[in-house]
Amino acid sequence: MKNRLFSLVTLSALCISLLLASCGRSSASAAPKTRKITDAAGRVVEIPLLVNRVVDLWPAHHGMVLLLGGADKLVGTVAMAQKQPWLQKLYPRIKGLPAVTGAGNDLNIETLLSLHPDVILMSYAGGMPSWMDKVAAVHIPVVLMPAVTFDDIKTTILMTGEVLGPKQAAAARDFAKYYQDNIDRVRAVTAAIPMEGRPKVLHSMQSGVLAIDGVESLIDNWINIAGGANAAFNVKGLGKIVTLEQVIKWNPDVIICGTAPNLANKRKIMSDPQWSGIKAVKNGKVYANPSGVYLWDRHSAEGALQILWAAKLLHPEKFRELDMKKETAAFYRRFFHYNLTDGDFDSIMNAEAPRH
Amino acid sequence: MTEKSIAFEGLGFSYDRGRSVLQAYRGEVERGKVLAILGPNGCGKTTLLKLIIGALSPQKGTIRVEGRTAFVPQLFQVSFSYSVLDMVLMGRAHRVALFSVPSAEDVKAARRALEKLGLADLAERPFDELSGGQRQLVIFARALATEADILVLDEPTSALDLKNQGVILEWIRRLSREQGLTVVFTTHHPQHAHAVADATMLMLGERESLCGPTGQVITEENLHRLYGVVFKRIPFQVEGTSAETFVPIYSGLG
Amino acid sequence: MNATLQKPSRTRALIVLFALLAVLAIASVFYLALGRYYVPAGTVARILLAAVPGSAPVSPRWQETEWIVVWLVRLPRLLMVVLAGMGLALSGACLQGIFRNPLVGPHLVGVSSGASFGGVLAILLSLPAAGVVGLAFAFGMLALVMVFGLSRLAGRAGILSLVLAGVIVSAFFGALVGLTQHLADPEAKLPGMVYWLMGSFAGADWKKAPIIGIPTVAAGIVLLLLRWRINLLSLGDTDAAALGVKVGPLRWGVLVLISLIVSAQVSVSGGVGWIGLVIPHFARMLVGPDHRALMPASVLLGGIYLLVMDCLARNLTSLEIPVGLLTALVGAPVFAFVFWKTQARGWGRD
Repeated sequence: MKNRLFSLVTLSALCISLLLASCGRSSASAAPKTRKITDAAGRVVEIPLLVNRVVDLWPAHHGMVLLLGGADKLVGTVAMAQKQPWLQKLYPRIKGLPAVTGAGNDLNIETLLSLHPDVILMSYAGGMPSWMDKVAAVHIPVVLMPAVTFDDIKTTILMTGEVLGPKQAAAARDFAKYYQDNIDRVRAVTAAIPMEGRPKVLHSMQSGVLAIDGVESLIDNWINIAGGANAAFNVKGLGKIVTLEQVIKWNPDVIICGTAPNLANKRKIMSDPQWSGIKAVKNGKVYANPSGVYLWDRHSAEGALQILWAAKLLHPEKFRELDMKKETAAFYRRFFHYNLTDGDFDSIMNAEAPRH
Repeated sequence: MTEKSIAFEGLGFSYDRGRSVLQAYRGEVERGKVLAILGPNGCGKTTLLKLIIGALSPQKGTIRVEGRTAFVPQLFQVSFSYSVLDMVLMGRAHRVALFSVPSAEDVKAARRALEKLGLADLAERPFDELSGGQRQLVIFARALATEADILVLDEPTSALDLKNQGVILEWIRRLSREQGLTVVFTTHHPQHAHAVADATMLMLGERESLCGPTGQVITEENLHRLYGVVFKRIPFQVEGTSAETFVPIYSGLG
Repeated sequence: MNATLQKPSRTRALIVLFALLAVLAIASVFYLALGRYYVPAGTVARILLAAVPGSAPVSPRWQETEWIVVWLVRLPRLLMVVLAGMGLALSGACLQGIFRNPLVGPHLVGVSSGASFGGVLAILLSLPAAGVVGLAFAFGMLALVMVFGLSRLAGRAGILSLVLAGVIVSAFFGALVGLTQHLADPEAKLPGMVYWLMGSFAGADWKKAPIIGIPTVAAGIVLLLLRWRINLLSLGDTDAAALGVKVGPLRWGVLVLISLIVSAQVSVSGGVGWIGLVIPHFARMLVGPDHRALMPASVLLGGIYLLVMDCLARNLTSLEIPVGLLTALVGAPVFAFVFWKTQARGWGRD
């Protein structure tokens, strides 16, 4: 009797628990319309399972979305991105998309809402975008992607693939492997180069003033990987304004001009008597940084090419077999499905808009 | 000597907002004489002075001014604390070329002007630290330094205490008698006109003015017309000569 | 100076002016000898001496880089800095005189903001340095023309309508500067614009030196010749006119000259503020309010002040500090102090 009673209780308990469990399962099977993703700021962001409407507010990032095959999911963009001539050429639809932010950082919340985005993509370098609270208030998820180191480009690509969907995630893994291969290929040659064999590289950006890129930046990262040393060893961060005397004191072996108009800035440096005493100028080693879908030297998928270009530039004898033209053409064919002409290649190398 | 220093006839002027300030005014003063101008507030006394010094041009009528004028503005304030000598030196502006500074000659003239008014000791003092009476005298000195023939004074006594009013009136008389300057001044006090002016002009209204020897123009009746206040003539003796003055009788205050 | 200033203050003013000249000379030597790139003082002296025409060959020679640093980098910058400081202080002294208000500066006539807009516009359009200079200059002068037109429109040629027109034009160009910044590429162009707006002589070279030099020297000399006329203008329109001064044409003439100087300065070095406002006050403390002494003293003090500030700007850290930031940082509290002192002496009534 006691036993029976016990078995009855057990049975009913079992039934109840089964019932509960099945209830639980049915509610769980209805729910997965969303998934969770941890972004660069360490925030756990809940985004729809299927992401179809994307607003990208990071100009440099548009090329990555395009190469992953996710550009057709874009419903909103930034004015800055729409002005990039190579992006326009490879993806003309960008010009017609509504811009949610102008050149500044102000976001038009009503434009944003009218686009019904599933997710907003944005860069993160340690500070929240000024519009973050406004967007959080209307419950649109924002995925922040890392934008500090050269390695962050790979992380960003993978994270973007994950947001966009399985097909794009696969493409991202493919690209990440290519990206890492290029880094490894360069490192294999340059890792052994001792400090004294590394040319001192000054990466400048001139926009009305003399600004240079210091250490602890992605620019510094690729200079080191490519077998150089940042001439501006005592300056931290991007776009720091220095005196010309400081540059003369650094006396770089190579100068790379990284801000539009790159070629004009290069010519200015080469012809300016104030710069004439610097080793790089004396030896004619002043270069314009290539620029394509985005500036190669910055947070761009073309960082994969930048590393090859910089390595060949700094150590031509060690990378004799590396043909930049072939590499570049292969890259745009493989990732952007675009056949580069000789003229296109020259434009990219000179950081100019495509010729028509 | 009956040579006219200033004469105007049918003088009219209105500012851009259309309100006429003066219409058909006439008046004159002989060289070396003192003309006092009396009139209620807003009747156009300052406008008339500006027409005399040439800062404004008449829209109607004619005005003839023989010789150079020097203007002494009312309530003089400066933004920078120039020295007294610097202030007086500015009276030499018309003699100093555009791209030049005053010469030693000009400094001498300025010092002479200060001496004439007994202000030589104040030369290095900051102008803005002087009393109101002293300031008024310094601006007199500046007018003298211009070596003008005609002094035009806008209410020279209005901001001063009674003692300094007397000093200023005394100087007006002396500048006329001793230096032979023609002096035109505006005032609200009939007794000031009586004290020093050879001729007086009453600005009775837009169309009407009265100008003539002070003794004939300033009467109980004319002053009543001018201000709408009852005036009482009070004759008195001073140092053996008979004189007169006019005081307003404010009803209800007696 | 001349023989016409009264004795005691004339001697005092002369002594002060010579002392300021000496300070400027000494400060210039320090400026040339100090920098991130070390050049021994002796080498600096030899490089300079060798440039004196007819001088004997100097030995020992120097390294090419040392010559570049001293002759191509520091010397043009020194000249530009001193000229800019002089021009701004002189403009400030004149403006305070003609506006009869010791609290105004070159920003008041709208020229600074007009020129600033021209400069940022050129950066937005990726124009080369010559474009920045050209547009800054053009818009600086356009601002003056607009101020002139607006004050004419107001019908009266008085100071109030001029000040009002200046405020309006300043605000208008200020908004355009904001708009330009808004349109600028935040990565590539905005930093340059912001930096340029803060004011800096980092881009100084021999090509830019005459751009600021010629207008500043030419207009400055004319203004200095007019120094006594500023005394007269400071009396106010009616009184100055009664003394025989042609107030309108003279005032506009002075404003055009000031605009030339300010546009030239902004076009080569951006928004360097506070000098025109602060320096004349110090000059007034030293030599008194008479513009005959005040204007030359302002010129020298302005040159010295900006020279010292720029020396700090390029030497304090390995980064270049915008000198306009320093002049504002030092200028604002100093001005507060001066304002408080002078206010106590009775400028409050103005």
